[in-house]
Amino acid sequence: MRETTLTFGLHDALLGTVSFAAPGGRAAPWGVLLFNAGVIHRVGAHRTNVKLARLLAAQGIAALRFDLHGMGDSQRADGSLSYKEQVVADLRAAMDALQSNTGVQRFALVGFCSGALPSYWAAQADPRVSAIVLYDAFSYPTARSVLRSLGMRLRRHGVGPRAWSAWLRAALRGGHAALHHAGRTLAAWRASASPQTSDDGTAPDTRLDRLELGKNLLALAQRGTGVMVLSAGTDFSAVNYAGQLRQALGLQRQHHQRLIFAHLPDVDHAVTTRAAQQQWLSCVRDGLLRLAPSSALPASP
Amino acid sequence: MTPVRLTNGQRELVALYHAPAAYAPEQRHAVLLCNPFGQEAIRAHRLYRVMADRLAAAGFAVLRFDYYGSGDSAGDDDAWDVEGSIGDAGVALDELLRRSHARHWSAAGLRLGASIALQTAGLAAQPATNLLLIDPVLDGPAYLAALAAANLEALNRAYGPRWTVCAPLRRAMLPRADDEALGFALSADCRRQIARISAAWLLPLPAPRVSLLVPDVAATRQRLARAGVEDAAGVRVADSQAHIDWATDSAAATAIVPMHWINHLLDLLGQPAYA
Repeated sequence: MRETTLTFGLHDALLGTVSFAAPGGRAAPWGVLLFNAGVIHRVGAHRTNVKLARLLAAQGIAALRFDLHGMGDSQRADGSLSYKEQVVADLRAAMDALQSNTGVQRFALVGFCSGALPSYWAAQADPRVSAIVLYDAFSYPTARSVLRSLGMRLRRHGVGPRAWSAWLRAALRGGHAALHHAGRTLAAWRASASPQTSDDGTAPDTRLDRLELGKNLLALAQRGTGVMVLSAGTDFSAVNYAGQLRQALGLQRQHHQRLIFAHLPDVDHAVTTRAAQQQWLSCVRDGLLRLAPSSALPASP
Repeated sequence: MTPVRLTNGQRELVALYHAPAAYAPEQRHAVLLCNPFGQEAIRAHRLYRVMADRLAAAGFAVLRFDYYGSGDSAGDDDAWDVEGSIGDAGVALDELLRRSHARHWSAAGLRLGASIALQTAGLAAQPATNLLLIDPVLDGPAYLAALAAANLEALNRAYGPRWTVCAPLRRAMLPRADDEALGFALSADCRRQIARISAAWLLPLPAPRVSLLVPDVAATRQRLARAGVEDAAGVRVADSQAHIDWATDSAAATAIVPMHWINHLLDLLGQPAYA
């Protein structure tokens, strides 16, 4: 395994590590970009970016894990661009860097949690993006997911007189609050909802209508950009069954081979345990291989 | 900041060298920053980055690096251990002194990074000037127990009611609780090495000035006294004025940088805090 750590981009302000495709096999003509989740630096939550990069390199796929402007070991931005413009510019600079170091011309972007929106934006902006993985960034509830979440809470308190007594007391104490919460949740679902990555749901760059998002993801797939929407099971409160996000995004009747939905029911959001990491790594690797570009870079319009 | 790749035998390490700022007064003094372990290192990354930037701005040369089997360095998680990390820190120190041509060197470390900085200073050919030990591990077995508790707490928080209700989930996700802590491997050898850490690691003092920043000064002084350390000239214990849980993956989107710790280090190195 060969890796190099380098600075790149305007004024060499960005920092990342390239994992080169393992020698001996045929190197893939596409590479993978990995970057920050929240404020976690380029190694990723529980070092998952490092592990994924090396897993891919062993299969002939180069990867660059790097820090966006102002994150990890990269320099701060000069403030002249909006957040959306800046992260797209950073991802483009990372594509340039991986291309100049390895020769790959197409790119898959793995957006972990808060990295999902930048990946989505970059896919819309740059034809070199051949695939995006959007991991656990959206939490649009459905009636079924709300019932399953409530069912899990019921199971926690068990059945029988003691449990029902506890529920009755809880209902008396918090009935009003629970109804208010359920009403807000369903109202948000009926209209639109913000992804859980947004800070307050009000920033124009991060507000997403779920049906609009669904349409745009399908449009990306139809133009040849692979899309994998991946969700974690965590505590059942956000996404808790395989078809939930497809349904919530209005895509239950839309099937396209370059639009994949996958659910990891036993993996928590931060991919904490080593067993969870193995499941996540296998799933993302398999998704990336399935969405590998079948052609060279499309001609410019 | 310059990315550097080092080798400790077959172990390839990634380091970042911060040259002294050109506008700063020449210090001829280098500072090695030693990472803590696992999730604590992930959480402390921002602190180390800001600490290195501030020190460089004040004229110090700084090197921070990832041990083998951690961070950006080569090696799987289960290859990480304390003894190997002490060797890695020695190589990093040599590189820092080679690059900086500094006459003096000091080191700082948080949690297990403090233990590694201590041992590195004890083994170095050139004596260290200052050591800053932030919330150091002074009782290895207690630290292992705290890691195990933090691990279970993190899983309870992440999975909520499922972790309690679903035995198959617990069996699948955490088959052997001792083997990992918050997603990072803890091999049997590694656990044995950590279990040997005690306050006695401070003796003999490897630097003329050793400063401990701790959340509980009284308890630390008692522990040092039991190990015969408290009376050693050059040891200072100060209140860290912060109770930060480094071994957690909650508040993952929060960067934690207690600036008064960085100012404390600058003071220790003889620099005004406003540098």
